[in-house]
Amino acid sequence: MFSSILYKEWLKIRRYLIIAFLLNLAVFSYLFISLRHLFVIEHAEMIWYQAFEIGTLHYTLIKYLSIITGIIIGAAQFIPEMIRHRFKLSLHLPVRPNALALWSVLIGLFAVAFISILDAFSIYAIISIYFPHEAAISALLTAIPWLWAGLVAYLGIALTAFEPQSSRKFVYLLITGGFLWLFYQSNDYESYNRAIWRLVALSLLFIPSVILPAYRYRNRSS
Amino acid sequence: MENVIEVENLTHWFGKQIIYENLNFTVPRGRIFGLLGKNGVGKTTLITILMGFLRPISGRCRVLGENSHNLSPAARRKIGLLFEGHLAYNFMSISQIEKFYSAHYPNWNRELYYGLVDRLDLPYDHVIKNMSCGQRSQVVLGLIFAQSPELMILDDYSMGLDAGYRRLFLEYLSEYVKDGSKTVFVTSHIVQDLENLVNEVIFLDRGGEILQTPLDDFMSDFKQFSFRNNGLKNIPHRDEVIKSVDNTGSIISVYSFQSKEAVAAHLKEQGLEVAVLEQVPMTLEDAFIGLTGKY
Repeated sequence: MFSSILYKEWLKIRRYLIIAFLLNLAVFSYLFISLRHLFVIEHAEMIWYQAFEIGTLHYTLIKYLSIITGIIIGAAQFIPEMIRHRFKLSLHLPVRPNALALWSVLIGLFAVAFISILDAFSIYAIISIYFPHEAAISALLTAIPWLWAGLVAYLGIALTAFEPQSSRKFVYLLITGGFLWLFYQSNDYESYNRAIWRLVALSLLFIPSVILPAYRYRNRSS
Repeated sequence: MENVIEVENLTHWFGKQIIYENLNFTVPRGRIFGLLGKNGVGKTTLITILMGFLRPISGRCRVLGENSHNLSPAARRKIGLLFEGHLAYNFMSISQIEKFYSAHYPNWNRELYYGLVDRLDLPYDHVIKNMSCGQRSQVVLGLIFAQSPELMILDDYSMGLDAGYRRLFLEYLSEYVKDGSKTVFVTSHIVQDLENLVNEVIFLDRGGEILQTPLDDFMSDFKQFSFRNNGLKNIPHRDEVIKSVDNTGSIISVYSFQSKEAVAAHLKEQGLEVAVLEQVPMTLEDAFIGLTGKY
């Protein structure tokens, strides 16, 4: 059953996964080039001063990148199911609807997480080129909320897509937007170090919550 | 005989429009049932309820012995369902969709699928979204046959199909039900196709009025009588005896379950002196229009 669902989801997202990968690659390449350019035109001690005395983040370019990735994968996965109510085809398969919805979401989540992990390695690697190891780790910790926001955006898209009622879709989008807003409340280094794990734990509640709209999709009354 | 579909006191409405009120019918195993009705009487809604995608206001529907709102995966495995408009995963190709569905159905008949799809003369990597409506229909119907389901529910199977493929499909369907263990519940806008296919018909009317009858009984009991309109002052009207009236000007036709003599006497009671009342042979489509009326 799982391999069959994986096959279907893979067919939907494979092209968009490549697009998302190329987009992330382009942004990180640009980040690398920008940093190199900065070190060419500025004195190293000035950049150090900006980064660690003033607190300038030199990698805010990637701030919303993961959200875009989450939206791309979510849209690729769920828009084809929602057009002309094709999700009914999936719900008629001899598979428990809850398991079907959960597996579908976990597969998409894995795809977004894959790109986010690559992003995490990339930011560590790029910062490591120009700054000491501690600064690269700090950059990674600073970027974790942004990277995690991509998973939340994806889950919000899934939740909204499964929901059959427009007013509830709007509510789910508001909840998702509000939750994402929480991840962007500071531009300081490592400002989420103490809060991020709570936010991560809380956002994991999005995963089982997709069961409710999927159930409502199947048992509509109008 | 075991019933594969049981509908009891089904009531549903959308807003102020009543679709059904206390609708009751059963579909026994091994029969081909045609569900007929004009546009908007709730044929697709009924199938949507039977497959558990819509919760009715009240009433009970059971499919293969299970509550239709909560069909188990095992029950769904036995049901081949054609959604209205031949819904399909249009991002898949001919071979991908076969590979995907075959994993879910233990009795999968790959040869049957490709037997139907090969007639399209398309490469197996042809993607469904690039197909015409009729080509997509052929792929979807091939998938349903390949499942070898116990119960086939087909919502307007004929949409987009040309005459040749419709004929081919009906042949496959006849072969499919031959052993008597399979059941088909079908709707079609091409009523004529069902004449040589279905054993029983369910006529659904607005508000959920229903007539369930073996097709042969219906075709022998329901009759069309015509007479010349030689300046009649009155036109016959619908009532218990006359189910509908078709007035084309010079010829008036009345439809009834009564005998010629009874209809003639009834017309007289309505104040109509009809010199010659002729029974006219009907096809199922004529009878369907006679029963439900033109728009």
